[in-house]
Amino acid sequence: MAKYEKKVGIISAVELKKPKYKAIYWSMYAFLILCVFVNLFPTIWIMLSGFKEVKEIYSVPPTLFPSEMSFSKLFEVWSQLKLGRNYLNSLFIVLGDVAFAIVVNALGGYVISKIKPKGTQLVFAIVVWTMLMPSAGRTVPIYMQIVDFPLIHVNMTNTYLPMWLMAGANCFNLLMFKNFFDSISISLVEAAKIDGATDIGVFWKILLPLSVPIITYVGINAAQGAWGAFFWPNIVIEDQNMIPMATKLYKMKSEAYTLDKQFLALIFSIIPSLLVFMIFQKQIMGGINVGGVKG
Amino acid sequence: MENKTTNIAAKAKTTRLHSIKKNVFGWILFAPFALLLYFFILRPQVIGIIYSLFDLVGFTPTSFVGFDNYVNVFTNSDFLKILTNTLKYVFWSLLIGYPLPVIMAIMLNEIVRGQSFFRVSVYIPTIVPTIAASLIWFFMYYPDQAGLLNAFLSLFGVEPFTWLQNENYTILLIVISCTWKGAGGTTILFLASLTSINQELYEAAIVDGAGFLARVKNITLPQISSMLVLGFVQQVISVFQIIEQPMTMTGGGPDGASMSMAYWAYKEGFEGFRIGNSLAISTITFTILILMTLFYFKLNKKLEENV
Repeated sequence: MAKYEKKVGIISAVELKKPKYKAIYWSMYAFLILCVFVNLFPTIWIMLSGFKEVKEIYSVPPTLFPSEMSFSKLFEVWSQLKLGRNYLNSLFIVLGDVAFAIVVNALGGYVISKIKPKGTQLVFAIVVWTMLMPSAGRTVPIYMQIVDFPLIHVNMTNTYLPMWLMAGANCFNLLMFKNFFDSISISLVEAAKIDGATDIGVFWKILLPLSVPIITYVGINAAQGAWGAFFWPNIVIEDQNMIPMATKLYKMKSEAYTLDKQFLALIFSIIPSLLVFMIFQKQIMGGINVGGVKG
Repeated sequence: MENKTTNIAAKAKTTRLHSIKKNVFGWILFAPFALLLYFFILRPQVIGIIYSLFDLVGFTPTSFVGFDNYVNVFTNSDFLKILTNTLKYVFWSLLIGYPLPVIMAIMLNEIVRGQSFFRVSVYIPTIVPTIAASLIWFFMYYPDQAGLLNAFLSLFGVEPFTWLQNENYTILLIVISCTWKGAGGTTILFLASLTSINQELYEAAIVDGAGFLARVKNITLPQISSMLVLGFVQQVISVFQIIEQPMTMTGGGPDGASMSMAYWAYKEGFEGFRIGNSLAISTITFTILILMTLFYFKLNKKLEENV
């Protein structure tokens, strides 16, 4: 039972034996159980209702579980709504966003942290200020540039490029990389160089393997963000064959699809995020701690 | 002797070369980020402010009109209502969404059994994509029997309620859905800083005979004060710019009751094609937020001086 011994927190282990503190302690559990219920139930309800026929959704008195749970309905809705296409589109956005978020911001963070060319301090100040700046007011001017990009006059509507490029211009990610590289000692690099390693060798053999945690953290965050991204794809992508999952959900709502189909589409949009979370749970929860302390 | 000076000169030359090489190499690697930062953050921000002083045909500024667009916005009969709406969003989110993560984090830090289960369960809504979260709550609030809340009411024979369609509650209900989606992530952040509080502080307080709430007030909250202030400011700034939730849940309705400043700017620009007005609205929002940020820095400085 030593595993469950109370070591940290406001209430001490000794006090827990008194009825008053016991009451506080257990009412915390009661509150948290309520929170968990509120957190999980809406999604579960949507999923269960997705399997119902529309008539059953409207039944009085309401039912919780569908009268029949046929998994063939999942496949039917999937193919009828052509969600495979939307999944693929979302995947394209995710892959591009992740690549830009990692490569561009890691390079930037590396320059500010380790190479430090002339003017680094000024650039660093600009980056920090930009991060604190509200984003209000950029939407329309960014759209002007997407329609007709300055200097090269390219129209980027109906491409995923705007989303990818914006994923690269992320000051928060750049600072995360900078902080991480700051924590890698320069002597490690110098030692490797004395041993005869080239710049490229140092990058591949030392920096890259050491950076796996930060790359994973930024990558997962970018992926989760890109998968759910709705605002810009909704503006930029007009071609119905190119819209991602998030925009599809919005379109389905305004095109008045039956409720059960909308419910199942919602569930389909959550599944990939949930899978990523389950696989990388440690990195996501741990990585946030790193960010919380440093940022 | 001569040999030595040439040696030093050569060395100086190589260091200079090395430093030039370092600068050039560094800025080349930094160029992709710098370009994206310029084109997708700095330039649009500045262009937006400048063009708000122009008359625009399509996206092209035609003539300088000074503050005409601003006058249009300020004299619009909706302006005060939408600004008030936006402040209502901020107010409700501070009342509901701000304390909840702190409370949950304190509790999570307190409990021993099942801590990791509760931590993960509390975090789960955060991974639901924003639009999916908005739509889940849209269906919870569905105005007929299909909505979860009305289905629940019907168990007690209560007639369906209009929820989001009721202009008195629509903002509050949207804020509740945002809190559902966002609280978990913030809770985990607070939890991280709670675990770093020195345990001896609590032990000393117990010896002094301080009760539970006294300990929360005098130790826990002051120890995480910088995060509390930062979280407060970040929340005000982000909620002030709320757009996706009203856009997907109510479309700004009923009768403009859930319209926010950011959504108004969007509608003026992308649906009304009144680009000048749209830019003026955004610039007003931007100015208000910049003033708030400056206020935060002043406050923060004061706090740091007091510590």
